[in-house]
Amino acid sequence: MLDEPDRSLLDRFVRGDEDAFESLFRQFEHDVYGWILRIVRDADAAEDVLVEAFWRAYRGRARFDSSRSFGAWMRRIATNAALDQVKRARRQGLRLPMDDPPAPAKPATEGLRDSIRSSFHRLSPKLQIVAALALIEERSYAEIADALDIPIGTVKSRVFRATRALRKDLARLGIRA
Amino acid sequence: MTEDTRLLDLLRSAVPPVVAPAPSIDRWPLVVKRHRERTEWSWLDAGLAAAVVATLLTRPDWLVLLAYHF
Repeated sequence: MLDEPDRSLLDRFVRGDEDAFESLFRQFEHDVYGWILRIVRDADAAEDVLVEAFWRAYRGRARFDSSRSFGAWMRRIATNAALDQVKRARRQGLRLPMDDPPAPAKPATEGLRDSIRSSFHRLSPKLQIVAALALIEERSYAEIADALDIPIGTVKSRVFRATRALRKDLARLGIRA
Repeated sequence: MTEDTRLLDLLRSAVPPVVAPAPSIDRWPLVVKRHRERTEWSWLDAGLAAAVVATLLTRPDWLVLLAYHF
């Protein structure tokens, strides 16, 4: 995560100073965008979620304690906004364009990849997020727990449930994993 | 290869890790635009507010009914 901005900038942000908000946006935009993209896995949707997340942060600025980490607070907001997007995409039955891999190191056949992708999308949004972050992006449990604002034990349990669900779903399709 | 490793390899082959790109466009104007859109009152908001005020002026006893919902 990035260096924390100085306290006076954060105080100005909390008071509603738009210049301070823009400075924070410029500093954290890339990091937050990358985090959102890892969850929603679609560049256009990630841009929209990024804007929504920073708008939510500005709207909720009075609740931010400027003695605490802005980066962590922003990431939590971004994770919630991304979770809303995953739920929305699921309701609309959208597939994620970025799931088309360029050239995997150990290629599976296209049919097999489609089946695995479908199984991944059948996970509930909460399990899908931890599967994306922990299993695919290899983020630490502590980082995921902080972003989701849940205990590490809950992250571990969700990873276990996601793995079990994926294995069960693939077994149903006749794929041994 | 353990079963877990095989599952992870299959998963990463189908849903590969994201390489976060550099921002393609300046998104700050979009944040400002959204802020303005969501904080401005639409005609519908203003109409509803006017209707509520008019109703309460003519039927102040309905305030109890409105208060019940808050």
